Amino acid sequence: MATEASVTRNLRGGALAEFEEVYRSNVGLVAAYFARRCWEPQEVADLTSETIVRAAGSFGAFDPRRGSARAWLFGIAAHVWAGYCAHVAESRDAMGRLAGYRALETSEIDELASKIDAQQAGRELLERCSMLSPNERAAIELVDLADLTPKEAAAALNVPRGVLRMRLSRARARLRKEHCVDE
Amino acid sequence: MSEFEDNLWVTVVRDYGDELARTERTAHTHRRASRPQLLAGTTAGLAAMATTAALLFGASTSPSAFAVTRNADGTVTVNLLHASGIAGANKKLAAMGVRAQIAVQAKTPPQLVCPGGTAPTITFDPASIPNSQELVIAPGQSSASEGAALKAESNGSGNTGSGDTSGGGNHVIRIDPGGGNIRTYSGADNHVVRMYCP
Repeated sequence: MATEASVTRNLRGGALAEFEEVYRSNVGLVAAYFARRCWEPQEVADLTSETIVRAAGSFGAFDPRRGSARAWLFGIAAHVWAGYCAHVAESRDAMGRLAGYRALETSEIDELASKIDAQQAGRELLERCSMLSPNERAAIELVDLADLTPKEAAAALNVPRGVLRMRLSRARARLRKEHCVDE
Repeated sequence: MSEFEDNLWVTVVRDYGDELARTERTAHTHRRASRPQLLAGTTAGLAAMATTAALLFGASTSPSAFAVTRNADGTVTVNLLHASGIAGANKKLAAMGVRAQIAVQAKTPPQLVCPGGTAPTITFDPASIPNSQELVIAPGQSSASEGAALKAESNGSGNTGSGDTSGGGNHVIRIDPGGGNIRTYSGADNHVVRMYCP
């Protein structure tokens, strides 16, 4: 039987209202995450949609005691991106794998193209990070580009905070060093 | 939000709205002492309502999708054109300190516009909501007969019954502090007020 507390919660919107808050606060950041990686608006749209749909389907399992919703969502985004890359690497139809999402309207294509353009600086930073290890690169991106706190980034990457801080510190030191050499 | 983000949210609500609305994550939330709800007549009533009603629909809160206005006489009028305005309307009600929330049935259509393009509306007196209770408003298009009954009441020609008043051409919901009941369009003490077409 549903408890009064749980019903009260549902009456006020339940998990749908809660998920809406998560969505509103983070969907732009998730789209930007993919806009730094892709050149095609439809690709950004499909990857963002895949992330959000996976999140919606598993929101009941999200436990805020283990990390923020943003960290949880970026963890999903990272999985979506890794899966997508694996399919691309295997020369499989990665876009086909994401099929099922609607084709974008012209206005949405323009909008996402602008977002891709706006992520140019972030893309360049990621390119500069190519000399870093994947783990260091992920730490830099989540904290310095995606605006996650180190604590959230640690949760998103499923590593202890100390490990995240170490990766971040090491990555920044190497980038500073490279920057000095360039100058 | 952007157009893409708005459209994606509509997809999420369409495909996962029911599932999310049924999801209870109470293990992760702080329980608090339950307080009487206007909607909560009995445990059975609560369980029934949990399955049939009161699930926020919410999409983007476009400013034109809703209007919440405090009138000069202290009453509050809520107009809702689109289900996507529910979240925004609820936020505004909360910001105004009004203990009322809009809840919708799971199958409430996104478009709530009345014939003639007007928005479903409700006016109520927040001062008459008992301190420990909360008013629950169910939006949606009333059937023709329901709408006619509400319209008749709004014109002062209907049987407003105990606890209800109407005046000045506006149907104002007032709550009987003693009984905690709200008279609805159907005349039953249903605890849920419905919006109607003006």
